[in-house]
Amino acid sequence: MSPEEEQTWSAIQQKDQQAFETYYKKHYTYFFVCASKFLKDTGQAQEIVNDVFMKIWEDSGKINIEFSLKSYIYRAIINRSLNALEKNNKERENQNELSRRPEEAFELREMEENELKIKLYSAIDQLPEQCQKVFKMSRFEELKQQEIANQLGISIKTVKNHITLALKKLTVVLVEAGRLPLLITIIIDILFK
Amino acid sequence: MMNAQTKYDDLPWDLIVSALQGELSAGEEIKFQQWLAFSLENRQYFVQLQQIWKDELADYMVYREADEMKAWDSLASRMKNSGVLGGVRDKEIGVIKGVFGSTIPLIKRIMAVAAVFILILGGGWWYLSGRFSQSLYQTSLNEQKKISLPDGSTVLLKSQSSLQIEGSFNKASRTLVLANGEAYFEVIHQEKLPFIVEMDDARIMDMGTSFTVKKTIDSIKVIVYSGKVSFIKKETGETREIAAGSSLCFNIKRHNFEKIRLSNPEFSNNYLKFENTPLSEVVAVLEKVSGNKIVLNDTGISQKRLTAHLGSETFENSLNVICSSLNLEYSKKNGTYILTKKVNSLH
Repeated sequence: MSPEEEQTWSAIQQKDQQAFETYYKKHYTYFFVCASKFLKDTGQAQEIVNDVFMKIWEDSGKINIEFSLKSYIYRAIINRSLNALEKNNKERENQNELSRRPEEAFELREMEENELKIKLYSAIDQLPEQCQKVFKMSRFEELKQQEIANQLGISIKTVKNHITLALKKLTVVLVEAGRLPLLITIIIDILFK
Repeated sequence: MMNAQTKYDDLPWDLIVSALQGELSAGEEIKFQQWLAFSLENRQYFVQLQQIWKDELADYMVYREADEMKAWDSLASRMKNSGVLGGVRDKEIGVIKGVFGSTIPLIKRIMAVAAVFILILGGGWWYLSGRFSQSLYQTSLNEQKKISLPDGSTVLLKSQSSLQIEGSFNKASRTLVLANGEAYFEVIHQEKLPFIVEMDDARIMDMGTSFTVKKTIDSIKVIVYSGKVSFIKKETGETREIAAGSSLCFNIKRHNFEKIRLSNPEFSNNYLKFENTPLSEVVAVLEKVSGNKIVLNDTGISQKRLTAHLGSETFENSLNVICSSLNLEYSKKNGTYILTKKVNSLH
């Protein structure tokens, strides 16, 4: 466990509600997104995250966490999600998710992958308002450049500029996460300019 | 001199954006293909962007639905209802109150004290007599058990494993039987009582150390993190010594020892632990386990001593831990990691 996790965990074990709440709120989104991947029903995803945290709170004295609090909770949430999936498994296509469950060794990578996602999403949330709007219309509403331009009363050039800015911000997240080693030199250049 | 900002802006963003949206005109398509063909760097970058655009962003709407305030309210009220969450002022009593009412805590506490007392008495007897009967520890899937042995050594029994502790443990000998599965041992050295892990075909004898044994139907893998162990083939008595940072496999079907190379994921699941170990030794272990080359740039630092539990850290995180504990920094050149004394920067 990292020193930070160690501190949080021992506070939780001592039934420090404040610490528990803080940890919960800080990581809720992450776990919620992880659970939602299997469940598709966000209400159920919230319930599963809460089930796991409830259990953690109740049994904190009995649980022996050897390596990482976060991956312990992660695994518990994934397991519960899979169980729930199995239970309400009337749709057969979801079963693919079950058989595609990776080995434990990939879990770390999977967790990193999800963390990167959250970082990308919060980068989107931090974009200037208009830029965010254009980007979302383009990606999530799948509108054409011309349609966006018409709806917002701006030029196609401006639409492209907004999306360019958004992509650049996402690129920075990628570089920071080490996904784009090729461009690290660029960042270094920027820092030392 | 080429400026970074211009390198960024030099990318044909116009084309990239339209390509992602699938809105390239025929003329633009040609230009874009030329740009892709221009360098591997360009192609890799575009693939990454495309992956983000298509896959990574797919869960964004779900992310937007996450509402930690609302979710917490719901959890908090569940906690309240089930009695595991008391008033803020006196949490401990609150916890018990919720379940048993208000007069119980004192009795509970007395009982707890009594229980501890009995435990101490019982434990003392158990420790002194050493006559406890043989015990079997088993773990199911995803379960781990930490076992503290009467000699101060510990065992972490990993999932789906079983370990038997002899009744005479710590008396005439210190012998455990790993029937199957995987276990991590941290052994306190005793000159007169060697620590022995028995298996059907092989035996491991330790000399004060930490190591993992993983037993499957056809092989026994041993990974040593600190100290030294002897790996003994029972049939012939053939013995191999394994030093810190090394590993060895016994192939049960072929009756022979085989080298193994640890892969990185395996590294990340292991339990590197150093206690007051010279940096030179730490580095040697890390090199062997990770397969990376590490150089100490300053002979002065090789005698620095490290006490750290690198648990499930990745290789680079391990380096970060080492650097921050010993006031060093590392850089990477041509695949080699270089450790140097930290120079106080001027900014």
